[in-house]
Amino acid sequence: MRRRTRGEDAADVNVTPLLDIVFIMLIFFIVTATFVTEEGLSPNLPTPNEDENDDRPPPSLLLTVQTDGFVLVDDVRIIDPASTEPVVEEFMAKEPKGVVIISAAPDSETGVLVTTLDEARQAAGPDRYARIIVSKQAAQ
Amino acid sequence: MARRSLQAVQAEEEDVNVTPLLDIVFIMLIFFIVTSTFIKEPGIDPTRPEAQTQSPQKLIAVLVAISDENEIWIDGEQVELSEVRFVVEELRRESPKGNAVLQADEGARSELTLDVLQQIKDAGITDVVVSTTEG
Repeated sequence: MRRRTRGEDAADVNVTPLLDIVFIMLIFFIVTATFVTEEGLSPNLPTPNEDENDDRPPPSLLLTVQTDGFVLVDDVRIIDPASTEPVVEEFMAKEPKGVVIISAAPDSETGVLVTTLDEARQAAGPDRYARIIVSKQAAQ
Repeated sequence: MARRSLQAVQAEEEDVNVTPLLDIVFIMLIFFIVTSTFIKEPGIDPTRPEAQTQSPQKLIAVLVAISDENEIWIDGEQVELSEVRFVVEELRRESPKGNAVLQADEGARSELTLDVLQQIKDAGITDVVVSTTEG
């Protein structure tokens, strides 16, 4: 009998102030919650301390993004950035272990660079994203 | 007599069981505390380049933007290229787990974009994406 009375006493704790605080915190966190979603490409930059002691460098395709908005392929021919995909696809078919280097001229536009990178990634497929390297054009 | 019955009704109303409500409220509270990340927006909205092979970036902690006039913006303030690494490291200290997003305008210089990318990577963030829109 006595035990029961004590149990009822414990159940009688006033939770109203606790509830008030919890509600205010809840409202604060709901209001401040920001769900930022961003989509993008993650370019691979050249790593300076890579082991260069391999017997010979892998075959590479050099795509130079020029200031005028066109892409120079292997210093030989000029193409539109939107048609990079077939070029990279052909190279990847010929050289399965090849590396694609996208070299951007200092004054070229980021939009053109991203388009070229996107086209190259479309040609390479997700497994070979690691073999597309974006670098700044070396000083001449 | 009437007053007595009113008291009885009041006593019954006070007896509402708030435990399930409290459970739900606590779970919601914990959810919002855990998911809340206070992201510092750069303050400008550049025109993102279009791409098709984009993937969503998770756990964003650092946002860096480059305007079409080649200005770098972080947390509502314009910063110089040489300061980017320091500012990113400072933001990183507040939320060590997050990744970074670079919002570069499609008209910005490639050299600047790549320099900023390199600076962010030097600050210790390996997973950096260049923000794009679906083309």
